[in-house]
Amino acid sequence: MPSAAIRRSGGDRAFDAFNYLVMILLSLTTLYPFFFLISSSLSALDVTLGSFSLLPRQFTLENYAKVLRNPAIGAGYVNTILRTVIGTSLSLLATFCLAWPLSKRSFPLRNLWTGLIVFTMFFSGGMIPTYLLVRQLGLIDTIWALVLPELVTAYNFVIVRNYMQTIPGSMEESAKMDGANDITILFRVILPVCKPIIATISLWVAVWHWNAWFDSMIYMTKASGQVVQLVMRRIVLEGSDQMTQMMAEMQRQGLVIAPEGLKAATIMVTTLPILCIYPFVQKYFVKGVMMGSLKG
Amino acid sequence: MRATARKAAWIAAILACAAGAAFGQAKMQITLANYQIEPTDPNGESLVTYGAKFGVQFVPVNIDNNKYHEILNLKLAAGEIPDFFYLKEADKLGNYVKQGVCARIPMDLLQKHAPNMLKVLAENAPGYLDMGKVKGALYGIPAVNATNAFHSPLVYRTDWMKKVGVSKLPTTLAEFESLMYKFAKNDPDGNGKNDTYGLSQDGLNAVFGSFGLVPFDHNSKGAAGTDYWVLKDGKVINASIHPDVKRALELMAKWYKDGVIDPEFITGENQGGYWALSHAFIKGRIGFSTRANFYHWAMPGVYDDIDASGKRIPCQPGAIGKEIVAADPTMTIGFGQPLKGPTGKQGIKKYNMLMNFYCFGKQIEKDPAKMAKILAFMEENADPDFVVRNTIKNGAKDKYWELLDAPTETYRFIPPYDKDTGYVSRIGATLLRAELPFPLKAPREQWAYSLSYNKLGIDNLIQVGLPVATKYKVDLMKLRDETYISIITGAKPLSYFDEYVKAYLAAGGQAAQEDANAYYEEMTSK
Repeated sequence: MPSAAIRRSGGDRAFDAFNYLVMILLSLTTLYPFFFLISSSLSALDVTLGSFSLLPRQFTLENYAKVLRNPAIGAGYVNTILRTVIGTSLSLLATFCLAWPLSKRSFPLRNLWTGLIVFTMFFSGGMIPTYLLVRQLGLIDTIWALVLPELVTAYNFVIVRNYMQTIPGSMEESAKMDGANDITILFRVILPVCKPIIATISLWVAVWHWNAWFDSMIYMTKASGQVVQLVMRRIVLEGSDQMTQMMAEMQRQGLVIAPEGLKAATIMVTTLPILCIYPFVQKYFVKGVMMGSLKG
Repeated sequence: MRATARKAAWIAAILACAAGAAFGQAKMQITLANYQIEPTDPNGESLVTYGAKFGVQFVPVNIDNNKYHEILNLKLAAGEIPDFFYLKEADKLGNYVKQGVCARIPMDLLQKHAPNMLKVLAENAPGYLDMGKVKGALYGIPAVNATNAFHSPLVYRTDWMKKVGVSKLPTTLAEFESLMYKFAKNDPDGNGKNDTYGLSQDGLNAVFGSFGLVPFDHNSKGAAGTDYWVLKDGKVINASIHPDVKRALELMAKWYKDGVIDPEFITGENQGGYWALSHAFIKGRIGFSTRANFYHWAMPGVYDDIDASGKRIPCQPGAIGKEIVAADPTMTIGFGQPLKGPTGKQGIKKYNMLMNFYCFGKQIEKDPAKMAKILAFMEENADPDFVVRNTIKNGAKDKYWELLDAPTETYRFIPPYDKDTGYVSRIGATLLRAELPFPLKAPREQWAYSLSYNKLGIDNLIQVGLPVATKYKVDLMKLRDETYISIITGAKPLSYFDEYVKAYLAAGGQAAQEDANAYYEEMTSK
């Protein structure tokens, strides 16, 4: 209904145009590296670094074929998916089971327990004690070494707890009057109301699991247990460290170092899945963070 | 689902323990951590083959080489010292010995079990074994890189030289200066634009070298960077504070002002990716570089290689040569000699030949039987027969590699292993490697000899990291780089160098220097 619209002055329009321009430029600067990667991943192997454009030179899918044929990538993918699925579902379960009682005002010593958890946000044991713990629990070389140490993070716990505190107590009371027990209340009454925060936390945890590689490097001592990000990292870093390469190179003369196109394809293959999920959960993502923070 | 998974994990764990116990009784276990680019399979072919040969069970400790020392330190903190491990950063030997991680290696054991190894080291790298000693006792066996006997290459664009009317490669600093000015000013690429420079970061080393100095190790950064020590009036000093550096910087500041040095020299010639590439040179921005090693610059056919049938054929290009051919086929390059400077010195940077140390875990200090087994596989790397030592290095002959020419020890990897750099790590061959300085016979190295690149390289007097110097190294290098850059770019006057020397000595340089002198005296008094 154009007639009903408020008339906009030339200044307003100029401002809008300027705004759009700046925003478009801003988006382009973030998108450029990404396009660069896509383009190099689709360029022929022998295209050198020296010549480059945004459109792929000598279009080829060979880089992708090579990456997907790499057996380490396949095994890595399975491990990453496994840790992401197991890690995210267990994390959610544990975080909600912890946050629910601590969101109750009537829970004994509630502030003490919460305080102890929040304490770990400021002081952590560090890498060596964590390693020792994981090792002594016998988790080395098992998927649990990647899942259990980060099962509940204090930050996620606080967000969930704060969200749950905003749920009116009367909802729970009415359920109780209908004869529901605590477990039924959590799963049938509270959790459905928590959908936005569930989406947010699961996305955070899933992305974290998908991107994590350092724990795999420390705890997984066999090639078969390593996650795809670690495999990718190895391919991408190949040849960038002079000292690392010296030995191998003496025989190889640097001829078989992974070409840039192959590295780009590897990065694309490992980031694409999580990139595809993002747009669909994004709406919950923003909403959930706002809810958690505003009403804390 | 979760319960079954957990149950399965438990069963697997119990089975693994049982299997381990059964093996433990049968065979001596030796845990190995060494260079690797992919994790090693515990049943890797090399581990099994050599395990059977020496009657032990080799157990890989897989440590990602990119974060080697971080993860090794974790394992050490947990009390899991590998029986045999390498120090990626040779610097760390002193500290590890102090912290009781490394076992003392008795000389008589070495003489008994590894006579060939001692012989190779003594013949081709005299004095290097002593670098593995701390307070007179041997803790580390040096990995010596024989290829590093060749100094940095001095590479000129000869097609540009033709354009600017110079036919002879420079041999003195004065000739070099005049050529660099012509590269920058006379439009050697003929595009009518003033967009070329003489040299960039790596080129500076040729200038420092003409004063007999290597103050600037441009290829590695931070803690991995190397300190170069030189003699001044009979005392060892860090090359970066040598008074002649000031003369070199004066020249560079002038060149920078005149537009001869690429303003991008601060970030270096390499723009990421493979470390050895000089993108500035490949893209035709500069006409001179000393980056990487001679073999990276090999152009197709510059020397004769040997093919699968043993025939002599033109060689394949090196990593930079390949990029040059792809970027600009009209580009030609020439290899010059180190420049003679105004003080009569002549030289250029050469990498340390000392690369790493091989150490034994403290727990086997009292276990000569285990030490003997480790020395046995190290000795295999020192075998006079090339086939024997290349087999432990690269896996079974005629499966992974084939010998092309025995006299020059030329071999090639058999497809698909020629394109698969990781296989040596997967089968465990890299875990059993000891890098030793055998004389270089391959055609590639013969080419370097023909360029006389084994002469006039500047030796670093102290290649092992001394604890005091290591402690202050990162800060001192930062101070050095900031000073050099601000003097060259004109942000600070030349007199600032004297302030730098004072600041350097005050910030730990003095202590490092005293430590270095004490070490040097001890080393040379023998």
